[in-house]
Amino acid sequence: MNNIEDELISALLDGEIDPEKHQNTVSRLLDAGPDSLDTFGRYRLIGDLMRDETALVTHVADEVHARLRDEPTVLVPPPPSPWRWLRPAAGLAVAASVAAAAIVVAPQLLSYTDPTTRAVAVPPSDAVANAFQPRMITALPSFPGVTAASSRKAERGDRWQALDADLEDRLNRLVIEHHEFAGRSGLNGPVPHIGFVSYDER
Amino acid sequence: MTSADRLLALACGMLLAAVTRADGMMPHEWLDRMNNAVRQLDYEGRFVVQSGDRLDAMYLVHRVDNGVEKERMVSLTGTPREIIRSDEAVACVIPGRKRHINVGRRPVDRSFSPLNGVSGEQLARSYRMSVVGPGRVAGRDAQEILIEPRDGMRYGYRLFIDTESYLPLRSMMLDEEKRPVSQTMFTDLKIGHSITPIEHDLSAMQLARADDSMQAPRERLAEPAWRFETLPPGFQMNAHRRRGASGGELEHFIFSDGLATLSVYVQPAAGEGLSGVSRFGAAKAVGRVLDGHEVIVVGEVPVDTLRWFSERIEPVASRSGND
Repeated sequence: MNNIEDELISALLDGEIDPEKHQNTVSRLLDAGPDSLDTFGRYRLIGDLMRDETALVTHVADEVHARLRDEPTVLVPPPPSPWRWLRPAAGLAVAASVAAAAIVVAPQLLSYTDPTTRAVAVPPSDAVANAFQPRMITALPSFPGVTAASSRKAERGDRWQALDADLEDRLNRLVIEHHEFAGRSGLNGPVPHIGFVSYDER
Repeated sequence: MTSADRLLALACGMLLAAVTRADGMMPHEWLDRMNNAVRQLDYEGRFVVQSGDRLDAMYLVHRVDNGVEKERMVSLTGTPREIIRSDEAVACVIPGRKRHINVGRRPVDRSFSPLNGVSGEQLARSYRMSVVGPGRVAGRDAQEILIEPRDGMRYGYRLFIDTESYLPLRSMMLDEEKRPVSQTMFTDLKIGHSITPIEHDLSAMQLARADDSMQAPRERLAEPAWRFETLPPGFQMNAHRRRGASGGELEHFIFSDGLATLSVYVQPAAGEGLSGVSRFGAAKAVGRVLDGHEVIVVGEVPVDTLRWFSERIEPVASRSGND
């Protein structure tokens, strides 16, 4: 599985794909083989686990995989034909509905549910981590001085990137410096800087 | 010790006794072991991070070589990002981005925790802690610990700690209404010396080491130029440092109640400086300008707590002059 397929899976589960293109996207992933299916299931399970909904949807996941296993054209795709989209229709429908469910319940990530949480081990995929190759490095050592030439108002709830570039950089450095000097306890995760790495420009 | 102090100590003692687990492990003992495990063990795994409405997957490898912590963390979703920490540097990798994200050099001997030296009795003054019961995360047996704040100055936590290694398999930071502010959870975890070497394919770290132009920040021991007459209950100053910077000397205070930490930065302001509140995942920042200086408070605590510190800092000189 390549990075493009990985991104497709992520985009699908993040609701970033036009609903009209869901089926085509899922078909493309199915055509890519079992690795993409595993990744799809793993990402979807991740979301389920974070929502404490594994009890509810695990059976759905099993059903998806069972349906896909029963559909030989999925795992061993035939030569392309004008009717290829119809054959895995059952699997596509179920898979798309799972994706849609993940999208619909996304706001529930914020809800705190019963402490009795079920969790399921997710099989590792070494290819995912190993595929990442650093392409650029920055490591600036010092904490530069204040360069602001004018007032920058930070509105409540804004993310760093809503501010100008200089201020964003300064706040990034302050947060990382804070993590470095304040130490770690494991309370907010195994290592510091998690928020920084998970942070993304949207 | 006053009568009130004795009563408080007694209440804390009773509380701690009440939450003692059958096998004798108190909540703060679980925290102590977790605190040591995250810094001293070799581990590798994938975990998910939720902050606000974001959900991301991450890969992490952490090693201790000759007593020095090294770690590599890579985002598996969204824009690829990576942080590598070693004894020499903190390096941030952001493919495709033209503008650098600046990352400060890591101090060599900063492998410590705000929990160090903090007793269970001290924590019990700020938090109600309980051992909820067994759980299971990433296929591993865990113990669930619930930590509830006694006031609105700090967040609560819900932890699932590995019963074998004491690593935090799942960590949730909870607001006043017990809603997750952020959470991390391993989906698979490998512990021990068989984990992937940090240096594997790490041209990034080699580049960071090869950059001779990097100089460690100049720090000096000096009395604080700023002070706080009082602190919120449970908080104490863990560290103070002053060092030079191109915009004037930077003063950095670190406060902690043993679990929650925040930093206060003071530096001569250029222009009007930052004012207001901003956030970065679970981290938040409050800025204001005071006597020609910019005060920025950052931490993973409620905004009101950050604002408390930003509003009560005062220059030592003016205070002395008034005395």
